[in-house]
Amino acid sequence: MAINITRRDLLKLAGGSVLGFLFTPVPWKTLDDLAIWTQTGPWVPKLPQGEPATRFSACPLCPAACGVRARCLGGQPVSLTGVAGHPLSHGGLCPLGLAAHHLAYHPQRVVQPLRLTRAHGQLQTTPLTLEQALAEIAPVLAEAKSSGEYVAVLDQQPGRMLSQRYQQFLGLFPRAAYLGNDGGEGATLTTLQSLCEQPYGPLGLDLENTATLLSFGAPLLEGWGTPGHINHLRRLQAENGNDRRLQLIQIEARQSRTALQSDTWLPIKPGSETALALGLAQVLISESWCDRRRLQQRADDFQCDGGRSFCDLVADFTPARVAAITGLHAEIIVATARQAAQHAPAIALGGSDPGAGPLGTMAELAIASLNVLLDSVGVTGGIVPRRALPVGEELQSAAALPITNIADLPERSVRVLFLDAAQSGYALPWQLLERKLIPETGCVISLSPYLTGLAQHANYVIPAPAPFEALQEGVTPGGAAVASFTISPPLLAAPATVVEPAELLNHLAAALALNWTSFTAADLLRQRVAALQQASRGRVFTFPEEQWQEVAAVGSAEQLWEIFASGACWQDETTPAARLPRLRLLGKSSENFERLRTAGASPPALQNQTAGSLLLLPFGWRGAVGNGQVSPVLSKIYQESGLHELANHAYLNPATGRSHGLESDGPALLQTPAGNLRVQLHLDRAVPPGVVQVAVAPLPNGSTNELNENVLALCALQADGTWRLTPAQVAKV
Amino acid sequence: MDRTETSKLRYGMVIDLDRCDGCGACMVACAVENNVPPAQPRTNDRTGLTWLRVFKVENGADYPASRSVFVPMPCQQCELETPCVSVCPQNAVEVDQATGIVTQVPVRCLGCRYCMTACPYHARYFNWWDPEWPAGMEKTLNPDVAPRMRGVVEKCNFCHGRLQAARAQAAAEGRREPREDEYVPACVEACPRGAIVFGDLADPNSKVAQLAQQPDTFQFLVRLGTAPKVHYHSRQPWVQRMVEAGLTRTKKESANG
Repeated sequence: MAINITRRDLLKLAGGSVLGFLFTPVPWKTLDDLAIWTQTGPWVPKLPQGEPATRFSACPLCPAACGVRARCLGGQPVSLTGVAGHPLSHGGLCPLGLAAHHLAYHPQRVVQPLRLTRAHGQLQTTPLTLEQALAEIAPVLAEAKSSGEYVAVLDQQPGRMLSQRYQQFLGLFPRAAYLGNDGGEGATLTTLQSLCEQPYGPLGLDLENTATLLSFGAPLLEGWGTPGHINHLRRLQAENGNDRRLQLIQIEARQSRTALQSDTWLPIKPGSETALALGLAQVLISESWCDRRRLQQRADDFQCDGGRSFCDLVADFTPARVAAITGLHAEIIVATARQAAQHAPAIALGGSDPGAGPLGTMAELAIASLNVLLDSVGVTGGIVPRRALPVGEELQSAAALPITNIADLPERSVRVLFLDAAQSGYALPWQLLERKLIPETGCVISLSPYLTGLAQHANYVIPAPAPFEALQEGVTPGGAAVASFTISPPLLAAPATVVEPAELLNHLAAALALNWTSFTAADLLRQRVAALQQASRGRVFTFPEEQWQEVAAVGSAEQLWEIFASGACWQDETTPAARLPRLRLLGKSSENFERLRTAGASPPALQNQTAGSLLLLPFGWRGAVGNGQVSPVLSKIYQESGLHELANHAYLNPATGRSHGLESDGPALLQTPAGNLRVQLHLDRAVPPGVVQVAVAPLPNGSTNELNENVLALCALQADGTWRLTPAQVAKV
Repeated sequence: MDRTETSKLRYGMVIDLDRCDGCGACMVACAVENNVPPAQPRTNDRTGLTWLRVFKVENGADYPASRSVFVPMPCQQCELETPCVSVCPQNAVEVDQATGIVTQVPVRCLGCRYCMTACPYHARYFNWWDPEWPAGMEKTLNPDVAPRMRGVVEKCNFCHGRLQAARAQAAAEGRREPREDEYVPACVEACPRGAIVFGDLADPNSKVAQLAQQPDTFQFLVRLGTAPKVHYHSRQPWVQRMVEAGLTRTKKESANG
């Protein structure tokens, strides 16, 4: 029988086969496997393996030096957590610190010296060996030395042994400046010290026993001082229900997270802090909430003939007048002053948003004086002097240069500027430093592990160790009532090409044939530990036992060093508060009376504001606005969720937006006398009228070699080095 | 489902909105613990991968009367009629009867995203990109949690890796279940304000169960009847009003019973 296969049969067979094939698992399984095969490539990370261990250290990202427990595998830290019993941080660790073990692998990491040049907004980098870099830098230093031009160091974490070393190095040059920048965090305390006729301090805050805290913009709940300590206090109070002692009164224009969480938020007009401080002083004096006789004995200029005393000054700042300046009701001003007087001890604390920089000298002077009126200096629960940290013998004799305010340095005077890698966590506009440099010949050397922030403006970058790659020192954080000291032992091996700042100074001193004794970073810390052991003061908190040990009970400096090498923390004992010496409420300059009166009536930054212009307020989050770097994982809270505002995103009140023709969100152009910046505009009802808030924020995934422009470049710099208030315009693009 | 017969433990949370200041420590700790990769350059808040996301909720008033709270939103671990479980065609989602945790099996997921549509809390995230870390950073990954491939849905699982480790420790010591302090998710451990309390809701003596019974404690979208095991707490009147406004089902929600 002949089999006739027709074309139809073939089609049937093919169609049937296809149909039948679809009812088997083969195509679906193949599809599934194909999907898996396309997703298992060399990019799929291999998980770390190795011997598990727990190690202890201290977070080196900011001066707080929070305790860190590191879970390690084969010596590699894979997660960091706080240490519950830690005397400074009480288990707290901020988002930056939680991911600090990533920072050694950041895309912007620098592991060899670089020469930087800039052209058309682009950075060009030339890799150098350390010898080449030294050969180029040393002659510039030699020229500065011979011609008597300024050599300066910017140290944002003063008080370390390395800081002493910088000061010693600068002492070898005829003109030198040791610069600091804490974003105004300690400004109230240093201002208070400057009023005293005799040395008094360093000063701290006895927050455990404070009843009222008048915070003039200090970001107290957003990383101020030792965040873990502040959070610990708040937790204790929350868990005690209605038995809350500390009343936080937050005074600032922006609705910050601290303002949201405070007990009372006083939304004042931007720049009116000086007026409010003087207004509160006026109520305290006029209603006799302060002891006039004691004040008279304590301060010559409290009340005197001639019409230029402190009382004469504040007499003009009546509640009605201050209400007009600040936008607060007069009754609220009076009630606030009464609460501070009745709910004692009360501290008045200046400060500023981390992106907006310091409040300014006059505002801080008014706030410091308020503390004297409230009798909160040198008393339990107030501002208390603490003992200084002991310094090693070799450096004790070195002439310690005082910290110079950047603004006080003459313009165009600095030939060589070193930028230390340590961060205060506060913003610092580049142009503030740039105007101090000698044009064309000024040389900037950044000791940074990353090519970001201020390092992008340097001529040379000398790679410093990344966090946890080297021994780092944590000294008494801002606002602490007692001295403390921690060493953060390294958790990672540093690349061979990185250079410790202390070693760089040794190399430079050798290249210049200076009279210089070389010390390594470890040598310096050993000197500090030996000094502590010799002073026989305080006690050490040890890990993993989480127990205290008296320093007096430690047999030798070597034994104490071994304790610190495992990440211990030293804390001084509390001492009876020394009484406040005689002082001048208006400071030592005879011009302060007039300056304060003018600043109270209208801040200098607002005197040139034209009608209809907006007020630019930069803002940020402490730690994330400095010139360091954050882990790429911080993209979760910036880029991937918007929980924290992204860089150059601008916020405007909808009513203000309407009056300026800005009806919706979208790209816009921010204009100030200093230039223009493209921003992403958002209409937000929580923004004060007449204000444009622009975020200063990091780029967690790093950046390209394009020079990062941010809003700080548009801010107007004032004579006292502040940049808080800038007249601005916003236009739709 | 009679939970008393089928479930011995009911892990849950109470989050105090009055304490949370939106710092984001919980989000970062979550990403580090669970090997959630950093964002790609094109990633935004719609395509981001955040197992735990903190939302900012405002009261809608004008400055200076405006107020906000920060609401950490992990997977709510719905106990009843779990929406993502019922829609998954791959059986990649299930409620662990022993713990009450809603588990996610990445290798079963085919990325249809039906569960994301079904989740009323928007607590599920699609992985749009291959997981990539900067060179060297893979050495910092948590060895207890496998990185997921692209094209699958991910979500919070109360740090299941930590639960397994705690169970192993308990078993090694001859105990059936870990103690309350032995199993703590990363976000709870990281919160610097102590705003998140975690534990067994089925144990009336646990702190979390007691807090869940407080008058100012509530659940989101409770009207949907999914019985979420994440509770929230706030004493702020405007927050309570906001929650009360969401108690009644809409007509559309009532259409199918």
